[in-house]
Amino acid sequence: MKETIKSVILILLVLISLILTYFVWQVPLLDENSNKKEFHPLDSHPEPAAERVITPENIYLFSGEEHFLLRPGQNGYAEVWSHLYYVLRNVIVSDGVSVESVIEPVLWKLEFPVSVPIEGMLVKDVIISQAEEEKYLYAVGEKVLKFSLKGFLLPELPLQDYTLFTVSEVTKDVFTSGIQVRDPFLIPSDLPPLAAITLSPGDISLETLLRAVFIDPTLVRKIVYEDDEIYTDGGKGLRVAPDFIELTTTYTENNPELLPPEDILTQAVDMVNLYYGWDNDYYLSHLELNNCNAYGISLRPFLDGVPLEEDRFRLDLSFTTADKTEFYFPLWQRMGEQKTKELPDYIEAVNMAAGYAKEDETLWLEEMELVYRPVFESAGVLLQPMWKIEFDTGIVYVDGGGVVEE
Amino acid sequence: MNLNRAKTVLIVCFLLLNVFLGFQLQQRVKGSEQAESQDSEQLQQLTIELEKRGIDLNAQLPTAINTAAILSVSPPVPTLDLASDLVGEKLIPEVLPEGIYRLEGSKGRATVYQNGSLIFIPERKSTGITLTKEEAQKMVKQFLTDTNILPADNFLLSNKLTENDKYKFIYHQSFLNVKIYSSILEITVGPRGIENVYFFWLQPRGFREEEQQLLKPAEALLRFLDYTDEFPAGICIESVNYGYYSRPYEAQKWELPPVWRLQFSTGEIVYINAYTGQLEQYTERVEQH
Repeated sequence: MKETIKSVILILLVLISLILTYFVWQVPLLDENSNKKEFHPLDSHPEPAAERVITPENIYLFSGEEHFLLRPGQNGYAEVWSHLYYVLRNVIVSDGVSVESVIEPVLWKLEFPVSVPIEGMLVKDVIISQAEEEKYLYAVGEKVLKFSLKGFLLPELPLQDYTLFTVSEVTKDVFTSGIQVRDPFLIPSDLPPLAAITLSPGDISLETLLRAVFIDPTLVRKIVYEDDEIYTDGGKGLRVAPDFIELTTTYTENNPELLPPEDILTQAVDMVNLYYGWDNDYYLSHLELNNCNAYGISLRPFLDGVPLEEDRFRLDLSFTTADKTEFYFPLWQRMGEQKTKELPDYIEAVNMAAGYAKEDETLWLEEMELVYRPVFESAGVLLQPMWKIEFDTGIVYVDGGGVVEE
Repeated sequence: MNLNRAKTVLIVCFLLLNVFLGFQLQQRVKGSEQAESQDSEQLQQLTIELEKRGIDLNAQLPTAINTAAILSVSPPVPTLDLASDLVGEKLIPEVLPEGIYRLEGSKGRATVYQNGSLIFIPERKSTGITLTKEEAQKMVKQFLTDTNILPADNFLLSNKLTENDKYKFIYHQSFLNVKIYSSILEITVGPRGIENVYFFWLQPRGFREEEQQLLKPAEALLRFLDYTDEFPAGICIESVNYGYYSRPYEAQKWELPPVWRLQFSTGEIVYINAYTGQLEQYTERVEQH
């Protein structure tokens, strides 16, 4: 009897377990964690310092009759900018006086090629003046603010490493006759040994990139073109080409507010860090609120302190206040170096360029600088070091082999 | 004796197993009840939001579809042969900029675009009278028989009388029981007979293996209302349908997401991505192509 009861109980328990298994299988388990999805940054990039993000691609310095162009890669540029940024940030938070013009004798005038956002102000020029023992700083943007420089030391400029390219140089007859210089400027007195650099399209893991851009890459769909591919989830679009990635984000919030430029830059840095990583060789070349109510930001690349001459190497960011952000990231990696003919010195280069550009009238030499200019080949890109010589009639490039024919 | 002990051990094991299964089932039922209550909360919220905006919902919200996979498609095959058939003659097409071809024959004018779409404007022969719906239907049926333009994988979405006494016959594609709203044959019939034909028919390649959870139509509608400010007074949602849609691309192939398709009484059609709630397209039918 006991045996029979046990058998019945066992059979009942087996049946119940089968029924329960069926119901457990039928009713899906709600995964509470399934909605907790997040972006996976490409890499853990360190946050760049604030002054590094807004380091301009150059600074024009006017001191008396002299005109200097300071560039990243030049000796002491980072230190000069860092010091200047410290001074500006600290004086701008103090109470400045709005003025019409500079009244004291001017010691220095610094011009940035781009309006630099510092403590809520877009600064285009900085003027240092002195009256008796007192020094003043004028920050020139949409308005002119005057600050006292009491207690601040100004940066020392590393001018000893440069040759001053002045009007008097021209009168020494070292140049072909007929060349005139509008403003004196600095060029490096010793040319750094520059090799040609080979680049190849950047190697990036698509899967990792998709996980960085989209919160759920499984919901992303692909559009295949002949030369590139677009990935989109309806809100973001990511174009992946062999040599660049382009990201477009459409906001869906109603009436997003216009952010101040510093916040825009912070957001840009966050985005670059998330998707790309902040590259130490990029410098701010453009920041503007355009007519379409969008901020356009461009960063120019420098290699070994020499700027690259092609727009496709720039990092472009656009923030539309209403609904869109757009990013363009070039994807190139440095592969190696190639020996190249030594560049002529600046006098020889200017004479060569003048011979090429010679016209009947006087040539005005506006500016000259060292640049890397790309030559596109099937396997990649060769960056050739060149002199970029800007006359009033146009630009002439001179490399180790002479004038580069266009 | 051994059998008796074995039964005891089995009873204990099954008892423990049943306790475990019972606990699992209770957790799942609880989760399911929560989801149902969320659904009903969303429906309530949707009703409130629609009322607030003065929108009527005259449609049933689909309930049977919970998961779906992305659909891969290729662009339409070149339709120059079809264009030749439509215009009635084998002609050398006139090549226009941006890869556009034009043919003009005795039966009308056809334009073939780079993305594979085709517009045909027949030679107009006025009937002089306003056609009835039946006459228009007969005319379209005859046109479809004569031209063989309508692929077999089609379904008729609507044949409505629009403004200006015109009928629009709209066909879409059906692939493995799902509707592809990106593929379309639209025939406009007016008092002068067939006035305009637009044809864009994708080549479906298949679904991705993995199916993903879809947003409920109520949630998708709520998201749509979130980023849409103003609606005309007295507007009403006439239908909410499930299908696949993306705007056409001039690409080699692309993928379509599942969408919730809303049709408004004003003629506007909204496609909401059924995965993300993003707006895929918000346009009037006439502007779609």
